[in-house]
Amino acid sequence: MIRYLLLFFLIWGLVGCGSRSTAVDQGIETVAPTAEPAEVVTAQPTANEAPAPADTPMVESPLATELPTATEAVVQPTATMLVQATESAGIPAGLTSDNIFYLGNPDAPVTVTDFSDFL
Amino acid sequence: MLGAEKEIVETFVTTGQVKIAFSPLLDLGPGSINSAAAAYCIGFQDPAAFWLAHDRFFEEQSTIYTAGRDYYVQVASEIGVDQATFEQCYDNGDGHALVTERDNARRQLEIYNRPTIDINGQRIFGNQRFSVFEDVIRAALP
Repeated sequence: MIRYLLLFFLIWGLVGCGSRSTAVDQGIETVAPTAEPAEVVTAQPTANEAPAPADTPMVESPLATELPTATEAVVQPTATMLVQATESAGIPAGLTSDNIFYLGNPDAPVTVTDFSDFL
Repeated sequence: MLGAEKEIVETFVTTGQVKIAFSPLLDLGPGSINSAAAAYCIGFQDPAAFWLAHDRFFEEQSTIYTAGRDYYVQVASEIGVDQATFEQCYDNGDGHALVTERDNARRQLEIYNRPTIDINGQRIFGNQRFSVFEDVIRAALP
């Protein structure tokens, strides 16, 4: 009788351990399924969101996206603008071949160049 | 430089001894680029009008920080250049391309201080009194 009881507890114990190990295995396996939806979720929003920020600044700053890099402007050598010299209150004004606006005698012995920002 | 610039014009430019020139620095984002491009687009139609825009933008700096396209169109119109031509220049990127080109050029010249005033190769940094410029100009005159 005692042998049967010990055998019963032994079998019961083995069954219990077996079910726990299965649970642990399932816990590990659940990581993989969560990874799959994560990829799907992140893939779609980036595809949809990417054009939005690019379009939005175009409205307020129409050319901000056209001049994103310095190299782009260097690669595209801009032709010198053909601008006729005029006068401001009797003082000559024009545009140099380097595309710098000037005010004053184009042959003046001294040139004062202001490298500045309107802001 | 706007303050000293007026005195330089009155003292030296009107006499034909000096010409002043403006090369934009684009260090402060869209406001820098858009204002410079707008001034250039105005100047392409009339270089004298560039200087009117130049003075106005310096006087309205606080507005330029947040100004949009409409503000520049309005300024161009008030200065008296053709509005449609201005809008075409501003929108198609001609002005933006040239001011960016100028900004790249000054970097190649290693000009990083704002403002930097170059007088026949001698550089003065920051806003200075007229007398500072006057001394350098007189020394440079033949």
